[in-house]
Amino acid sequence: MTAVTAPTGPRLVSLEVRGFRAFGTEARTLQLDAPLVVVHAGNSQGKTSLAEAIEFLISGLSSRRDMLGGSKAEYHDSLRNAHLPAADTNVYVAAVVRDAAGITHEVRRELLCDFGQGTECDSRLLIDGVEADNLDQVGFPLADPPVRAPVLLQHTLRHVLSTEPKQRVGYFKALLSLTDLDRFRERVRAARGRVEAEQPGSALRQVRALAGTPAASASDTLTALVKKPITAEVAAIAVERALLEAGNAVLGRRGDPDGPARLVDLDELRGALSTALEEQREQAFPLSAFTVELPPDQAPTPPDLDLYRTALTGVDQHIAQHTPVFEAVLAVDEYAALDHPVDCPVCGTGDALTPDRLAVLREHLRRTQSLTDAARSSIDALANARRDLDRLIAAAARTAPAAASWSAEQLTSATDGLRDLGLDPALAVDAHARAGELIKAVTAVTTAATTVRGAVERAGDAVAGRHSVDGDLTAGYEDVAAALAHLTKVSTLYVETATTLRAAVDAVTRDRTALSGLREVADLLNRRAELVADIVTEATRQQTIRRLNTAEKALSTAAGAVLDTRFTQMSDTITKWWTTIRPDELVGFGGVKRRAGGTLFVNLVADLRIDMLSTPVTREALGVYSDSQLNALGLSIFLARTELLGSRVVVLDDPIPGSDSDHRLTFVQDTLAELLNAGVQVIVSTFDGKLAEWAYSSHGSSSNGLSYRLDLIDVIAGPESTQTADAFGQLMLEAQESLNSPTAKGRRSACNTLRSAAERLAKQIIATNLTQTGTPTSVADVKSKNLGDLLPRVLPLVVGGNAEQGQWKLFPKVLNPGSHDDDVPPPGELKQTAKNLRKIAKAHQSHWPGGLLQ
Amino acid sequence: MSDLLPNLDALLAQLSGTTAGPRDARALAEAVAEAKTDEDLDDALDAVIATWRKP
Repeated sequence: MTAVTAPTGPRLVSLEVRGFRAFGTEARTLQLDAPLVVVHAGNSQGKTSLAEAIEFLISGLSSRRDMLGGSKAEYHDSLRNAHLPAADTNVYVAAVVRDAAGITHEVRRELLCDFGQGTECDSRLLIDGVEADNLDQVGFPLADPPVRAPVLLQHTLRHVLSTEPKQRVGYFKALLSLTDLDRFRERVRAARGRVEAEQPGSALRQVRALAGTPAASASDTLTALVKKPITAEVAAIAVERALLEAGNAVLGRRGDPDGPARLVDLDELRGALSTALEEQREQAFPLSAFTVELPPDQAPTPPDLDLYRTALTGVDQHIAQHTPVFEAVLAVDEYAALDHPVDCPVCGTGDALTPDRLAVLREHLRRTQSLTDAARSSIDALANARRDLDRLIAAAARTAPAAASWSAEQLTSATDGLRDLGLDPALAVDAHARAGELIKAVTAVTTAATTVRGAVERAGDAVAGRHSVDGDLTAGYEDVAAALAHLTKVSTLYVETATTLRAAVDAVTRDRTALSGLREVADLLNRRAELVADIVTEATRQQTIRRLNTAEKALSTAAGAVLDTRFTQMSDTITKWWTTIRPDELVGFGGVKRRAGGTLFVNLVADLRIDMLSTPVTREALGVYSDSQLNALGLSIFLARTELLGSRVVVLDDPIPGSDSDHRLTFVQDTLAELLNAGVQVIVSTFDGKLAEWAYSSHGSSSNGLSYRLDLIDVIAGPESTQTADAFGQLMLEAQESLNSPTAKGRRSACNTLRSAAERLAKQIIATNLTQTGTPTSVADVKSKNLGDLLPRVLPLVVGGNAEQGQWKLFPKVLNPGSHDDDVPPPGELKQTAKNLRKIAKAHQSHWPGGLLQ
Repeated sequence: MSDLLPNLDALLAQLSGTTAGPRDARALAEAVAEAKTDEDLDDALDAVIATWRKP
C-alpha cells in the first residue's frame, strides 16, 4: 500500500504481465492511469491476451473455457505461454490499483496450476504482499459466473445470443446478480430432500409385514394414521385398536357365535399369540423336547456339626443317650406337676417315678442344656441340608431334556422333520447325543446327592439320639460338587448345540409361518410404544414435506416476480446503451422478458417500426436482428450489466467489429462518452486503427487518455507495448524491424532510426531534468540538433554510472558511420546498441518521478 | 442482510401473503437472513424445519 492521492474511484494504475497466454518471458508493463486507455494492435499481436490478463487478475479464471464452447479438454495448458521453458513457472499478472479512497495497492495473481486433465486452474492472489481471496477490498468485486470480471471478450459478447434460451436465463440472472435466490431455493430443495430421505421408524416399517396376512386391513389402518398430524394419545388408542383387530384376525377370532370369543385386552392377546406361535412351531419341529434349565450355580455345602460334637464330649455318653428320654418324660404335663410316685412310663416299674426322681431328671437336663441346644441347631442344619440336596436332585433332573430319553423312532422322526424344514438333520443328532451325555452327568449328580443325603439322614438320627455322628460328611459333599461341576460343563456344551438347533428352526419356522401373521402381530405388540412414537414422528415428517413443497412454490413465484422487476430495470438500461450505439434506428430493443409459464426461459425482444413514431411490432430479437444488431445487443447487455453492478472499470476487447464501421463513430462519440462521463475507467483494445485513433483523439487528450500499440515481434519475449505518444518507443520499434536486415540498405535504415531514437531519448532526459529542477521544459524545447550536440548535456544526467556514460559516448561512434555507404554497422552491433538504448530508457523512466517527459 | 443472499429483501417483499405457503416461505427466508455461508444457510433452514417437526 502506498501513496494516497485524490480519489478517482477504483482504477487500474498500471499492469504487468509475464508468461500469460501471448505474454512471454519478458515482463511487459503498461501504464493505465487514465480514464481512457486505447490499445491498438493487429490480429494476433496480444490484444485479447491483454484483456484476458485483466480478467485473470480479477477473477483468477478464464471465461473463454466456459463460454467459447468445445470440450474442457481443449483448454488444457491454455493460460501459460506455450513458449516458456518447461522449468519456468513464473507466470503472473500484477497491477497497481487505486481504491475508492485513493490509496494505491500492489496486487498480483500468480498462476499455480493451468487447466489440466480433470483439474481447474489454480492461482494465488496477493494484495500488498498478503494472500487474499479476491480483489473486493480494493474495489474490484467478483460478479456471478460466468462473467465474473468486467471484461468484454468476443466470446462474452456473443455468448448470450448463441446459447440456448434455458441457459440464457442463467446468464441474465448472473448479470442481474440474482443467482443468490436460485441458491436459496436450491438449499430449501436440498433441505426438503434431507427430510424426504429419512426412513420411517423401524416399528412403523414393520407394519408393512402385515400385508398379505389376515391382518392386512390393520396394516392399512396403521399406515393411514400418518397422513395427518396426530397426537401421541390419539395414536396410542388407534394403535391398540388396530393391534387388537390384527390379533383377532390372525387368531381367527371373528366374533362368530359358534367360534372363539374376540379378545379385547392386549395382555390376553399377547398370551394367545404366544401360545399359538408355540403350537405352530412345535408342529414344525418339537423344539420343546430340547428345552432345559441350567444347573444350579453353586453346590450345596455340608452342615456344621462341630458344636454338637464338642457339647457331646462334655457329657457322659451313656447318660447323654437318655437325655431325649428325660426330655420326653418331662414334656408330659402330668409328670411335670407330679406330687406322688407313679409307675415308670419307660420301663413300667411300679411307683418308680417319684417327684424326687423327676427333680433329679430336671437337674440332669439343666446340666446337659448346652448339648440339647447344640443338638437342636444341628438337627435344623441337617434338615436344611436334606432339603438342599433334594432341590439339587430335582434341579439336576430339569437340566436333562426330554429328547434325552427319545427312542430311536422319535429321533428319526425329528431328523425327518429337520429335513422337511430344509435343515441339516445332524443338528438334532448332535443335540440328542449331547443330551445323552447330559443324562449321564445328571445321574452322577443324583447318585452323589442321594448318597450324601443318606449320610445326612443318618447323622440326624444320631444327633436326635445324642449319639456320636460317625464319619465325615465332607467327602460326600465334595463328590456332589464334583458331579455338579461336570454337569455344568456338559450342560454348557449341550446348550450351545441346542441353541444352534433352536436358532435354525426358529429362522425357518418364522419364514414358514409368515403368512399367518401371528409373529408379525406379536412383534408389533411387543413394540407398541415404539410404533406409537413412529406414527407421530412420521405424520409430522409427512406434514413437513407438504409444507416445504408449498413453501417452495411460493418461493418460486416470489423469485419470478423479483426477476420480472429486475428484467424491466435491465431492459431499460440495455435500451439506453443500445441507443448510444444505434441511435435513431427503426429496429430497436424491446426488452428482456420471461417466457410465459416460468423462469426457465428468457426471450430478447426486438421492436420493429416503420417510422420513429409508429407502434413497434415485436419479434424475437435473435430471429430478426442482423449480425451487426446482434453484436450491438451483446455489447448493450454487457454494458448494462457493468452499470447495474456498479463496475468502475470496464475492459472492452474489439467491441465493434470491423464489418460494422457504420457504428464506429456512435460508439466513440456516444457509448464511450456515456461511460467516461459516469466516471468509469475504460480500457478499449481494438484492431481498428480508426476506432483507436478516434477514441483517443475524442476523449484521450491531455491526461485523460493513454494510447498504446501492441506488437508481437518476438513470440518468446511476448507482445511489446509502445505508447503512441512515445516517439522514442515508436522509433525503437521501427528500428527493430530492420536490425537483422541482410542488406546494407536495411541496416542503414535501422542505424538512422536508432540514432534518432538516441537523440529523442537524450532530449527527453534533458527536458525532464530541466522541468524537475524548476525550469518547465518540453522535449521540443530542447534545441540541440544532433547526438554530438546533445552528449555534453546528457552525460551529467546519467543514472547508470560509468557504464551509461560509456554507452552514450559509443552511440555516435557506432551509429554515425551508418549514414555512409561504406561503413554500415553489422547486425550484432546494432542489436547491442538497441539493447543499451532500451536499458538506459528503462533506468531513466524509473529514476525520474513520474517518468520521462514524452 | 447477508452478503450471501443480497436479493433476500426483494424476495421477502414478494412474500406478503397470509396463506400457509407464503407464510412458511417467509419463515424460511427470514431464518437465513444472517447466513454467511452455505453451511449457515442449511443450519438455519434445518432449525426452522425442526420447529415444524415438533409434534
